[in-house]
Amino acid sequence: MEHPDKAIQNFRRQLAVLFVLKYALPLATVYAFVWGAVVLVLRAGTDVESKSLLWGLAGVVVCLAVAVVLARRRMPTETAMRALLDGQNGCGGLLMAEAEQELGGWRQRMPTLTSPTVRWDGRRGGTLLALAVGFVLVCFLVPKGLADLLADAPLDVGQEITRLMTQIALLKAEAVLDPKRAEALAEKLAELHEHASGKEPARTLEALDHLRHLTQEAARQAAEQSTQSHQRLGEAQALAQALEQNSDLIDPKLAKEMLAELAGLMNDNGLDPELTQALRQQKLNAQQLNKVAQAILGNKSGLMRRMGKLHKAGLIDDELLTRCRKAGECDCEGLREFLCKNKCYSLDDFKSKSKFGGKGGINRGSGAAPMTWGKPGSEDDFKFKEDVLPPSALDTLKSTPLQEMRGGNVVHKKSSDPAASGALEGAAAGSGSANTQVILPRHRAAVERYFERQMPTKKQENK
Amino acid sequence: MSSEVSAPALLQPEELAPAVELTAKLREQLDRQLLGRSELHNLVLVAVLSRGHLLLEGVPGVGKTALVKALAQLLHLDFKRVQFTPDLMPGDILGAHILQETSEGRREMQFRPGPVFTNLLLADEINRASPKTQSALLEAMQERAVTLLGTTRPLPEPFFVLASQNPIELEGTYPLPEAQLDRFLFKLIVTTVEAEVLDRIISTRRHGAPPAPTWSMSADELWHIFSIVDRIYLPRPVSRYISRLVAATHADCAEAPPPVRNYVAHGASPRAAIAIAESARAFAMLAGRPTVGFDDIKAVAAPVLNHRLILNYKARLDRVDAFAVVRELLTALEETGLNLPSDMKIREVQHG
Repeated sequence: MEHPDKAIQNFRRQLAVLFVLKYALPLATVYAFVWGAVVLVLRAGTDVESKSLLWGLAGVVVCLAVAVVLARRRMPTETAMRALLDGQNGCGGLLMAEAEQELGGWRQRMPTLTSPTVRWDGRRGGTLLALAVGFVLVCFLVPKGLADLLADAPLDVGQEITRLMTQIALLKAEAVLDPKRAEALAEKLAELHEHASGKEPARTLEALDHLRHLTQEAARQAAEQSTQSHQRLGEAQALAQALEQNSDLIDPKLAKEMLAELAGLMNDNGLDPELTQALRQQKLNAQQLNKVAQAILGNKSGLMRRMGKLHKAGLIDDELLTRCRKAGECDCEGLREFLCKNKCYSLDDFKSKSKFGGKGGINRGSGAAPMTWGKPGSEDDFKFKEDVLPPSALDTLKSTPLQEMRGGNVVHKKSSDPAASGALEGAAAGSGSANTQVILPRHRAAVERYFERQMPTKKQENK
Repeated sequence: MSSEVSAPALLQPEELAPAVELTAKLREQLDRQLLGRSELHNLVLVAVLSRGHLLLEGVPGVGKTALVKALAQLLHLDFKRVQFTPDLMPGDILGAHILQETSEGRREMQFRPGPVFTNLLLADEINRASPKTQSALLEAMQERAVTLLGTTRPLPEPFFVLASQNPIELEGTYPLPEAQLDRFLFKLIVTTVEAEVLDRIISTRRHGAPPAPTWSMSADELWHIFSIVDRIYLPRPVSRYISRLVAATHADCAEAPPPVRNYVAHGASPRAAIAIAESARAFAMLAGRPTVGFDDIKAVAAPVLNHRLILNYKARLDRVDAFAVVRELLTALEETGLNLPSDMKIREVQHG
């Protein structure tokens, strides 16, 4: 027979152990997973030795301490335990009364006390803890080499580096980039290649993007300048060919102005001194003009070769290449035809007439393309594309002279005329009549039904 | 001045033994008179020793009236029987004032006590009387006194109402109001006996007449037992269990089990908790113990609570009765208040 106090102590100890286990298992499991993860990260990211990470074991002690505190708070009172022992051993209240009263003669009649057993199913918690401990062991035992490998994994950017190196070399060769600038960029690229690491791929890739952007921006600016030059050469070619082949159609004053313009456009590019001198003096014969045209053609070819190289290197896109090619095109036959149809007396007149397309507008003179009114367009399903103008285009825009363009005479309506559009269409001003809203055909039936409906009588309304 | 009652010293074995012996004799005599009903007799004795009123429910002929008559005979108490009928008036039970001529030749109203002025009142088929007549017993049962024309007259001590009612033939009956039901300590269901008992009854008794008692208890002995019952000790954990048990009969209590939440419209009153405590004391005394244990509470919980729980219509539809709800309640409510987590279980101690 157990003494009541001893039986209660035994039961209390049993319960305390189970409560500590119950709270310690999940705490230790969570801590073990966290500890393992920290160990893995530290071993992979730093040169911390595994032995020093064993200090994490102190966390287990902390978990145990927390579990003990929780268990103490959760422990039932002694009265409750006494009541349980009383009920389980069939004491009929004697054991409970013992805490409050002197039993006297009943002590000898107290039944034999046996501490009940408490069952706790800790299989799930135990399994999880075993898994967590296994995870910690794996984190400690994983070879350091593997962690280092993870840390210093190289980033394969060789292909991109090579491509950028080629581009920089091309830009340097084509004098797009200053040699010093090109060398600085190449050095940076080499340094980047050296320090490229799988540890921080974003940093490497961002740097590569920056360099790629620099080279492409330089190439684009060069392409824009080439386009502008190509356009000027095209214009110069047109002037030269016009003077050479259509001298009979050109007014002498215009011819003189055209030669001056040609001299300005050529700007001594690719011409021998004799031709340059003749061009400045505006005294070129047909043979010299032919030579000038040939020189212009040579310059244009050179520009297009340069653009072709940039395109091949992936520095400019197809659109820019095409734009550049079209900028320098010269329609000599069209020019002759134009000169036959339009008598120009000055270069400004010539430029003004030649820059407008179409065949003469709605009456005489140059005008815009013929206007079509058969199928009105709509802005639905269309969006404006925002585009930043290149610097060369901005220069052109600033130097463009303002010109008036008018298709016909403006006819002012009298105030008494009916409005021809909008909500006031058909309403005559000053007539005294109220404005009549236009009813669209698709709304007509609904409006008719509205006015034909049966209006409720007063009786019905009262109801 | 503190209103709390100081706990008297625990009854010693030698103090308890005579009372236990007397009650054992009383139970033996009852068992001799009415065969095959020892459990019922035990609960009836518990009710009597707790000084509570008893409601017996059973079909005709199962021995309800015989039991009450036997008890009155054994206890040597004044016994009156009232057959409740629909035309029974309160005055027929409580008594009435009648005009009487005195010796001096004057006329004055004199009180003629009714049958309630007795120790043991058998209210036979109590549910046949009108609510007005049933209500006449309210004061008598609770206050053990009768007030008529402004004069309160105490009833003789001890006073018990042992009522019977028939669960069938409900036409022309008036179900007892909840206030009246609450005044009955126990409601006991008297069922028919087994075939073997019936065989013993017919073979040993002519016309079913019980044998004359060989022993009866005196009034002093009864009062002594009452005093002993009063000294039966109710430990704090047990009283807490009673409180939790009664509180858990209310659907909005946190500890109420699902059957209570689903089927109980109104739970038991504080009077039920008092009734459980008092009857558990008597039960412990009958078992020969000076203290009340959890098992005593479980033994008296069903008779105390079954008529106090008001079930809802869902219970009627699901054919769930109050006994089933109390059974579930006792199973669900952990008596010690250990409040162990759900994944911890106590393995029962095996007694050799």
